[in-house]
Amino acid sequence: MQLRKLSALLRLDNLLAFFVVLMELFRSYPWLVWFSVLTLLSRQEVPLSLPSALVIALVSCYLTKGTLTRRWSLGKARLATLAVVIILLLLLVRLEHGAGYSLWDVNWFSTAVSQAMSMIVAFVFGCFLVWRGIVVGRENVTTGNLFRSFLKGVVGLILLIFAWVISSHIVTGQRALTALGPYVLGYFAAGLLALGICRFQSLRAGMTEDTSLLSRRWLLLLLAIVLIIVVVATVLAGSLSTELMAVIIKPLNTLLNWLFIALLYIVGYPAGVVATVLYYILRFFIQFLRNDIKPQQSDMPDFSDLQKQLKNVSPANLPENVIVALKWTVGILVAAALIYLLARALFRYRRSREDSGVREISESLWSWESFKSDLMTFLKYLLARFRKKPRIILSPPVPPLAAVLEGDEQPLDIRELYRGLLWEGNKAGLPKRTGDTPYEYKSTLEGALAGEYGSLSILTDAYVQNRYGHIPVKNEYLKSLVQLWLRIRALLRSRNT
Amino acid sequence: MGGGWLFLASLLLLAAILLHQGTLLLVSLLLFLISGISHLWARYAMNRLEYSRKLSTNRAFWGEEVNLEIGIANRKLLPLPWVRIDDELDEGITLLAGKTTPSHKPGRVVLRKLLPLGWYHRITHVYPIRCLRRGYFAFGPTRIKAGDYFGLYEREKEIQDLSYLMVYPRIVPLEELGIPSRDPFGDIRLRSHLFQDPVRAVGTRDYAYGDPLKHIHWKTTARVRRLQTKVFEHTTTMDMGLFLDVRTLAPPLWGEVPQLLETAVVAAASIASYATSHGYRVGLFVNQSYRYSNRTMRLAPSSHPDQFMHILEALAQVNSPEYFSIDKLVQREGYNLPWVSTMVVVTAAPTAALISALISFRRAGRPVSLVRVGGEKFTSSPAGLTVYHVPAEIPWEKVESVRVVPA
Amino acid sequence: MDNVTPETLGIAASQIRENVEKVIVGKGSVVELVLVAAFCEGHVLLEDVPGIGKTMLARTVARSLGCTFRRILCTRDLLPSDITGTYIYNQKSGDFEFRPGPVFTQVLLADEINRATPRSQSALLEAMEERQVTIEGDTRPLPRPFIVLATQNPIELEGTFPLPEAQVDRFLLRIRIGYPTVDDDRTILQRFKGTGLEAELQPVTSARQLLDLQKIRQDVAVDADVEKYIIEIIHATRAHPHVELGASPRAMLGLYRASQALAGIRGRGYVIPDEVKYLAPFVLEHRLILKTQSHLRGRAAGDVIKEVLESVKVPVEDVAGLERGA
Repeated sequence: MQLRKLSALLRLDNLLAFFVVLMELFRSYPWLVWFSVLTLLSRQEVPLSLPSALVIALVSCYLTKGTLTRRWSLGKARLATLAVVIILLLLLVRLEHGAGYSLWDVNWFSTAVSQAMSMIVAFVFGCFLVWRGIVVGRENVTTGNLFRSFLKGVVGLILLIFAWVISSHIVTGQRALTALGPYVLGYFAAGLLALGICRFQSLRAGMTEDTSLLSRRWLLLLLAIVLIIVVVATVLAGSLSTELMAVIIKPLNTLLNWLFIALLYIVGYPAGVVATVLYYILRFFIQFLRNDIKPQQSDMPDFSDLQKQLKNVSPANLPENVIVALKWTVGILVAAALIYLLARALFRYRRSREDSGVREISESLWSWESFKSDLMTFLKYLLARFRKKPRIILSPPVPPLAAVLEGDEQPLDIRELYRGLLWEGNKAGLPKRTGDTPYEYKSTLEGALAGEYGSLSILTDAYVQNRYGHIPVKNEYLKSLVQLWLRIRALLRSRNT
Repeated sequence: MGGGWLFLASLLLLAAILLHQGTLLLVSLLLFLISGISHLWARYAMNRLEYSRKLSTNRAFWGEEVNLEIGIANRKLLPLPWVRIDDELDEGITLLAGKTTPSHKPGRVVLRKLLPLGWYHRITHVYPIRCLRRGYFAFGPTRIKAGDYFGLYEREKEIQDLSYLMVYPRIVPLEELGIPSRDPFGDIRLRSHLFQDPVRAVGTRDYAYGDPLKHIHWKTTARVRRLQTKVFEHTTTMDMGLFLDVRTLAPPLWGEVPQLLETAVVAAASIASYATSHGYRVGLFVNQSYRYSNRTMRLAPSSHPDQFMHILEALAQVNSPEYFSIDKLVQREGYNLPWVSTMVVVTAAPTAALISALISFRRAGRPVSLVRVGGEKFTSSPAGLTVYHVPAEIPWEKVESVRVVPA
Repeated sequence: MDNVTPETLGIAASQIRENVEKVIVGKGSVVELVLVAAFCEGHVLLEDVPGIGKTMLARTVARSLGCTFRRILCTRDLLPSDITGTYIYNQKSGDFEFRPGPVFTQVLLADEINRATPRSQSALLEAMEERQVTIEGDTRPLPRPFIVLATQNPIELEGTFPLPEAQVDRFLLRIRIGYPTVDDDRTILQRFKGTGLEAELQPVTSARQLLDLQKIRQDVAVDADVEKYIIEIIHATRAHPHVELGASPRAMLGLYRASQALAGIRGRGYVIPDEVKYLAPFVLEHRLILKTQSHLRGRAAGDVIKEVLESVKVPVEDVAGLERGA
């Protein structure tokens, strides 16, 4: 169990290192491309190809990780790593600058001088990649560090784009979008994948339970999210440039062709053999039953012919309609797989499993009704956001009439006077509590306004009679109440000041 | 961080439009998409996320297994790449599966779970718990965290609702009572029949002078034309006052011997169970207060059907420090008990004052028993006091029965 | 009674109260509450320690009201027939004669009701609810008014049968009398040096008049907002997080009627929120059943009622700006 966990951890760790190396590569390689486009080199091609650069960076990274895991001494680790990667680098540079000469051909050296500059640049860039590979292999990648590195890379790419634009006025060359676009996409894809895996590792740290299920789901969904981001951005940006689409689609097309060939060799050839054998067996039995059992030598299948035919197969040699048919088949199979996964996720299910004593019940709550309801809610929300909202101006609260009353000439309702009391009391820092009755509030005010027992009692009594008993207050009495109120108000206001 | 992304993306978009640069547009689109997708999770992660916590029972006996069900449901279209649930538990809870980590709060641990949650998806985890400690345990509060894939946004919410589990103490059979023909806590045959139960008329007899008028059975009288009196079944009320001393060290020492306290609680619970099943009306008196209130642990003898449950609830919450001495408790409550009540005192540290108080009750005619837990056996019963000894050599959790050995 | 108005209640109540206070010292508020129950024809549960004067209070009130008074001392051997009465065979006539029990009275004091067996308690509580008794198939109405004052000792739990929650709900009010103050104790000593004070007490009203006063009580006005206030209080008890079972519709009606009675006693023809708030603990506290966890944590029904009364809004004027927290 421990070994399995350890191996799982290591794999994820290696995956993270892989994407971090890719990130490093995709942010530095475009600079090499730009450098070569400036035609400072004798050759028009990039001094070091992307696959070679990837190999160098990955080898130095994993070699460093491997030596550190085995706890070699620092000197030994450095020696081993540097020795291996430098030799590899030299080898790759030699192969890329072969000029048609084989590896052991000494006549190559005569042409090497003409490519010296290119080889030096390739070597220097290779050393840079070695360094970066070692750094990645050595460091403990944390979310914070990775994020900062990612942002630095983005800034670097932006600077490169500006540099490319400026230099494109000096020298003619590819457009920035077609030249740099794939690297930008690759950088973001690798960077996001690395960030996602790193985030997952940080979440998982400290968890003592097996999270292998979470790992699988996390990685799958992460891949899906990153693909969505990249594809959507590509499609939107590609609408401005068909060349970008062509540049991106070309390697995809090549990859697809390789897949078809692999499919033919892995599936087609064995299937053909099996079908042929079955055919001959069936034919033999039919002949046997017809008492015509003289197997002919010529009836045996000729596999060598089939093999020869298949060996001659290449994407270019295949008829076009076959290619189209195969592409459609693959497309349909992929779509079917996606639909199956989606259906599995969508339709209700209830699974129960037991994992180290804890029973986990996983059930789907999907229903079309709830989905439709959510969709409607979301659409309404979007619609509301686009609608013009009336501006709600929060005006300051309007004080009641009793609070703004000037003299006792204006007759006011007892209820209005009480509203005034509540208002002024609140302003004076003596608010009425929710559960307080008028008499309880009166006690609170009496405690604060010493000597005003009589006035407050009279006012409260009049209010209570009117409010709950519906006993109207006589007009002549109301005037005296107003005078009482004015006195109370003055006291409350003096307390406020 | 979110604002920074958007600002950079907007700047780049502006530059792309001004400079007609598709690559800058591509970069800004990528930044917008990353920020937008992460913001989507930040905004809606906690929406319609339902948490539930359920115990298969709120009351259990020591040793029983209880299931803790923790469920989280995502009732929306947005899947959650990760949800972390931190449930706080009492450290006294024994989880049979799942692991806990220490909490910053004393006496609490955290049960942490990290899981992905798809759209319209519910995951429930069932944790078996073995009740290996008596007490009143609180489950919760719970903190839930969720966020996006890239670590840009995180949201957290806390659920304050608590669930409770009451674990009653162990109850084991009493055995080795000493003298089999006698009831361990008093001789029932010697008790006077205090009451005739007025609701249990079992027959009639001829009227005898002095019979109360209300006991005359008029219908039978009319039939036989002679006054007939109802005959009732006799009822004996047996009351027991059970006193538990939480002190485990003899004065002047202070401290706690957990083994002795737990054995004393097991003994008290077992005695209460025995007495209740044998028809006693049991009351409980402990020299401390309830954990969460100032009420003294005092349950007067009662025939209420829930009385035994209340006794077990009180015993479940017994802990170490005494609030007052047991002899004072015995003196105070003993006088309140009905005259013929049996008094049983369970203690690990009997003091001279306690013995003296018990002797005075015994001399006054009360049935009194002292159950000593641990320590040395009394070589003789002081002043005719019935003394029992419960040895505490065996760890209390392994005790299969309480061996109540007469002194 | 001629020219009766709700204010008449106040006049009658003050006369009765003055009369009772000749004997009962320092318990004006308790007497007022008992009068509230009398004007609602509701029953009262007096809960307190022995020697406080519960029996004397009941007897004095009954005498002042001009009502017949009987007392039952509840013991373990009390039979239901001891309460309701029974048929006794008359040998001379050869027939069964009905001998009414003490329940056939206008004011009944059931002392130490928690000592009676549950069966006897049920017989009494049924009579309280229906105001009639059925014996051997014959239904006999009880006199009107019919008010039960039951007492119980909260401390002594030995040998008692606590009233079940459903039965406690039948009591309109639960009142704790409490010990007298120092001054009151001094007055008691002065007043009760001799005996016979109670015997000298004369009624100030009659049973017939009491029935009229009960009818008048119904005329006490209750504003719609005050009604709403009562309903909100009842609902708040049901929604309180510590409460298992809140106040019932019977409790709501009880609070409504008691508020009317108290308003009338205080000389008013309408109910104010103060009366509702004052009576709520007496009417509602004994009807609430708390959750076990809350009970274990030392929460009491009184705390719940207090919280409810603090949180429910008393109907007063709305002032714009104060609601917005200005």
